[in-house]
Amino acid sequence: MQQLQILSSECVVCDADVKIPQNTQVSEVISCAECKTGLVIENIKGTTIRLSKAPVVEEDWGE
Amino acid sequence: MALTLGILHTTIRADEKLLIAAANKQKINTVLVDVRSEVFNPETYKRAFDIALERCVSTVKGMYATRFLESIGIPVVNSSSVAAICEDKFLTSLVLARAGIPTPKFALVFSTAQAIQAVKQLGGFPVVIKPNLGSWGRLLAKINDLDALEAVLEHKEVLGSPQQKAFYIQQYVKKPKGRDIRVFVIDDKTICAIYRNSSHWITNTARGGVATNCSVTKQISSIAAKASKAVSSGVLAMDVFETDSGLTINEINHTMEFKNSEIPTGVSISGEIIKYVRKVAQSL
Repeated sequence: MQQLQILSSECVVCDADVKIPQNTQVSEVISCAECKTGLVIENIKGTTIRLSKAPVVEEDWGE
Repeated sequence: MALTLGILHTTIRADEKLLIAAANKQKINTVLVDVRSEVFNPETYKRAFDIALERCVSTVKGMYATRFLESIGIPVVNSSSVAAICEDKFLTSLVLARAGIPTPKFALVFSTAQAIQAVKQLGGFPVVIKPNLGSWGRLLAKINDLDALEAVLEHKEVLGSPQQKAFYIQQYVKKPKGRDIRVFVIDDKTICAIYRNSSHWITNTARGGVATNCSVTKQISSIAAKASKAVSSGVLAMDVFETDSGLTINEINHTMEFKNSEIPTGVSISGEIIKYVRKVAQSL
């Protein structure tokens, strides 16, 4: 089922408009459709969403 | 009073979303706790949940958060005693070997000369070198000969962190069917399993392995139960090889990813995890 996209923000790398799926949570990682950069949802306040560049995979990441 | 569950995390993946949905379905309140935003000070920490589920993608951060919460009386699934074994491949192998559970032969060394001795003891090349800490099939090296062994160990010596300089060497186990089995085990019981098929020797789904359902046999549930008890039980995902002499446990993961396994198995792994968390909370 296609998710309803109601929010958007600006990519911190390429400034493109980034659509935010409705059920997105803070700390979730999404991708910019334009430059493919991984972006973290830092904060959601009403319709204002703050993004930052997602960290690269670190040595201790995993299951 | 309704139970409140703290989900410790460093990022929210599809797995955590499934857990949140499962908790809502089971009428358990959830609090999302990004451990990077917390101040773990025992004198000031305000308890906002009854029990925690550790889901950090960072093993180090997850372990410190777990130890802190346990120290102030908040139970954590998995406990630090389980995590301490499962986060380290060498410790996992030691525990499995001590418990008499089939596991590939292994050794730990700190230098190339000792690595050469270890390879001989393990039956010769090929062997696999793995980081003790780490996951998703990253930084695994299948070593086919002495040249490759010397090259990989020199790179680790020069470029690696101190932990990378403890060389875990494991006997290479050929997978005749090009697959291994990922077994999901909760509270010592196997709830489901998948085959991970790949033409590559690394079969992790994070590296492109394809998941299909695996019927749980008595052999699978038996070895899984023994391994679970050996690492003190909890929510575990075990990687199992099929060999000519039977099943052998390769690794055990304590913060398992499962989002790609619920559909092929038809089992709500997230739902089973939440049920177990409730059971642990009620037993205290």
